[in-house]
Amino acid sequence: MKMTPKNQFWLGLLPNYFKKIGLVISIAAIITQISLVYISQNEPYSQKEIIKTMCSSLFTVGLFFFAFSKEKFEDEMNYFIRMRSMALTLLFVIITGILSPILYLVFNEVPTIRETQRFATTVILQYIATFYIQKMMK
Amino acid sequence: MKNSLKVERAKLNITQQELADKIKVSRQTINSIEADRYVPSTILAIKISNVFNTTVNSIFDLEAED
Repeated sequence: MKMTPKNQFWLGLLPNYFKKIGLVISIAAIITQISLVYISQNEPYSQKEIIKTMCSSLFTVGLFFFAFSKEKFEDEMNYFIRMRSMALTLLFVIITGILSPILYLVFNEVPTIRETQRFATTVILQYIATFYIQKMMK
Repeated sequence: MKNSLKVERAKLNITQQELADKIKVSRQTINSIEADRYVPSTILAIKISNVFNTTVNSIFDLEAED
């Protein structure tokens, strides 16, 4: 169904084939990260860390492509589910934002770049899970 | 909100998929509307009533709690 601009806000979603691209990127990033443990045993620690960070970023980018690309059939119910998933994800982000400084205080830790990356990945994963669970329930 | 979409569909003898194709939505959307899990927009409700050549009110009706 064609989106109606009067009551449906333009989301600017990527075309459907980005789902496949996103999956390929994410799987490739996971495989690279796992294989890194076995392949680069002689590599210096700093180089390993750079590759690990790059793989994590690629994984997040892949997930982003998967989450924010159109379904095969986009209609108003899909739009509704997407909006609700976004609202629930926002709620999750706010709760995490409130709780995480307390957790850092309790465990006496300092947030790192890796933590921020993990947070971004978790948020996207949360969105994907909410979207597909709601779709299954409809 | 309750609806008689299933009954109307049976009268015309069309499947959920056929109705979905006519109004350009997914079959899942039709299924959700029939099961009262999703309330369609005004545009979609009018499109549905047009398929059955009737009014929106004769397919969709408000319930006491609405």
